Amino acid sequence: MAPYIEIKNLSKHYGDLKAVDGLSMQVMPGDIYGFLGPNGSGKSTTIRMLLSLIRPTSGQILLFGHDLAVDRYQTLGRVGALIEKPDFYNYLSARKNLEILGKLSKVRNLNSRIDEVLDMVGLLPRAKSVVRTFSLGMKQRLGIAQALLHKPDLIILDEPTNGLDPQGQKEIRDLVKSLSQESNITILISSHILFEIEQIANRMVIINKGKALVEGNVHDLINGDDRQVTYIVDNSDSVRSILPGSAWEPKFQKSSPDRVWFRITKEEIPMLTAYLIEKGIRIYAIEPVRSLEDFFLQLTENETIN
Amino acid sequence: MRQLISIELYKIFSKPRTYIGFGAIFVIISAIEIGIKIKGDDMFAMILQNLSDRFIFEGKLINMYGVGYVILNTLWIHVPILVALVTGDLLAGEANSGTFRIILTRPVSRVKLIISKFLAGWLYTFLLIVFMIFLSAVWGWILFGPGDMLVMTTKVSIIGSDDLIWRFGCAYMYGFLCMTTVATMSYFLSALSDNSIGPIIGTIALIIGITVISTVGASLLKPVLPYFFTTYLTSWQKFFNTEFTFSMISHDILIQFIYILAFFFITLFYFRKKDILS
Amino acid sequence: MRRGAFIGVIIGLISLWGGLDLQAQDEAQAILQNLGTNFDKLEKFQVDANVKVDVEFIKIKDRLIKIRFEKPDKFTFDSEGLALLPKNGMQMEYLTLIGKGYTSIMAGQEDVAGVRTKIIKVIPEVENEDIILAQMWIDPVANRIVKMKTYTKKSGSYLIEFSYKNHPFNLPDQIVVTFDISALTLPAKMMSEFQPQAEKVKEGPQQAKVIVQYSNYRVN
Repeated sequence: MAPYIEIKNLSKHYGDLKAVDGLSMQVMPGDIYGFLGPNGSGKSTTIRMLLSLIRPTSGQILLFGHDLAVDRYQTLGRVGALIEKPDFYNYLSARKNLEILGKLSKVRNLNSRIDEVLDMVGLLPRAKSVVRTFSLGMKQRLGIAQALLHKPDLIILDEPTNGLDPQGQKEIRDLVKSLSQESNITILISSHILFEIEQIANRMVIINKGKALVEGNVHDLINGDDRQVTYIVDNSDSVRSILPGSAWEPKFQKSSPDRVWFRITKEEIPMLTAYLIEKGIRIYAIEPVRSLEDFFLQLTENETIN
Repeated sequence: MRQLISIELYKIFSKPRTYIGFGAIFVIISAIEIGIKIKGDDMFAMILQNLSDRFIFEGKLINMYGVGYVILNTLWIHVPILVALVTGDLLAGEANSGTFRIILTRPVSRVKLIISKFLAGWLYTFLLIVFMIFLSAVWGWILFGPGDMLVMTTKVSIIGSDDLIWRFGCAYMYGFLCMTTVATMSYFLSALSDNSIGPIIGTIALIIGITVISTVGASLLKPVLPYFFTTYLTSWQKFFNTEFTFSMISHDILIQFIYILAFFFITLFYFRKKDILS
Repeated sequence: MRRGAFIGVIIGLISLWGGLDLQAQDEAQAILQNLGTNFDKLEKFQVDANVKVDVEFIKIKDRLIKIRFEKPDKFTFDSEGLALLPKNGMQMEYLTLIGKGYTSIMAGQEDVAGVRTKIIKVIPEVENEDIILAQMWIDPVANRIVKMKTYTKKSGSYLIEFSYKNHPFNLPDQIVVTFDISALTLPAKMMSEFQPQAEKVKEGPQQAKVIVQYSNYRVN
């Protein structure tokens, strides 16, 4: 099946500044695709090019197999998006905002669809309220509602949980998962909260300085390599004293009074744990295995050094 | 396209700032009409002071047409501000509020959006002028009634009341054309800006600035004055020339049309290519 | 003897001249009194007047107005539209002039439009009167004014030329009022300096001419 999003060698230059530099990536149907990168890496620029808000300097964007530059209207009709902070006509009600957007997208049975999406995001009781009176979280939910209004096949979310409390963040994550699983909507989600990408995304790309560093299955990328493991012990000196000459010495990274850090694979965790216990080290806790955050930081720091 | 225009009109008339224009017109015209009712005799006596040495005026000197003429003279001063207040916000306001992100990610042609916004702004301008005509006519009829009109420019003309309605009609239509030029210019500035203050102030500054420079440095700027649209903002007065022929104003109308088309198409081509960063 | 005769001739000539001068004054007085008597029986009248203003910088169509007169000098003008009337000349100022105290001097004769007229200078004796001096060309036979030139304090001078069609009270059927307007400035004249596209106001001496044609007199 053809990718829903296919970016080929995409670039955007502002004078000498290369905001996006030869980026290539694919989002397949059914993906919850994580789009990650540090600040200024080119994520927002790429998303804006995907939605034809910005014209690329070079490269090609295909949506549903169609060239965006040629078939803009046909393709955008199947895409819903929430870019950065959700902005609406603050002097109009939630319903009126959605009415305007629904008419632009030629949504059928608009009034009932508005009720449906507002109910989906929990804003139906506030349908007639002026958006100016909404909190940030409510605006964020309204933003998702407008992205869903025309029943798109693809949704692009740029930091959808920004400004939300933990409860709100969880609600968005659950909503995204249900959209993917129940409505079979493909989702491209950009976020700084790496933990939630790790929770919901199946595939991802990490970009930096406008280039793709790595792309692939989230689980495979995270678990395929060494990761940093933290041991919380009673006395790190005792750990350090048993390392010289052992196979674990090269794996040692650093220590603090009650913690020791090792860079080991997932399979090596029980082996090291057994070694330490055997040597009489009292272990109080082992910090979680390799996270996306670790992977992300390692990748982008290496990129920075390189 | 009709739906786009109706959406834009709805947005325009949902904003409080739109009613500033109508409110201001109501206040200004009412103040002029009532002021002339109270002090009109003194005012006209001062204007006619010199002529009064040699002539006496018999008949209703102050009437709805004379007052309407005074109101038309204020047209180019306050109406451009009221027009730019809305049309300068049409594109810059969307950029400022970030709503381009939800509008332009819809399957909507940027060209159609630009045209529909322009037409909505143009309709607002039209309604403003119509309101001005209506208010001037109603107040004038109630307070003064009809009569012949005295026009003093470099000549003194007295035009019969039976000969005035078409002249006022043409003058207002020409005024509307000029305000369309103002609207198009502020619309163009709006496309360049992410904040509506810039286009509004910019429009007023350009009109007043060019007019002042044209007046003060008339001899210096004489070669280029015929090419400024501001030079022709007061050409509606020509309709009150007793020897009026269309050829007197055809050039002025052409200049306005050229500016309207130029500003509009530059806006269109610019906005089609513009990167939306807001 | 010769000296005495010479003085006697001089005295005689002076007396004769003085006598003649007195005679001329009496004649002027008589002509003006005759003119005044003619209008004594005129209590009131109404007339329609067509006013045509002939001034280079004034554009106005001919206006039809109604004029009402009530003795001794009350004039009212009634216009449907806006009419521009000369400040002096339409209110039979000569009546007012000869109705009050004045000094009159014969100033000769002149043929005006084929009519032999007596020229009489009239100086009002009333203080604070706007008219300083009036010169009238009067047809003594028809007992009517043919022409009048008036000098005023506030409004300069103006000339009125009368035409008649043998109305019983010698009311004119047309008057032409001519006066100088060179000193007249229009506020808009200054504005034209700032309007490069506007027409310039003509400089130099300018005359205004107002032609009033009377018809349909309704007298008393």
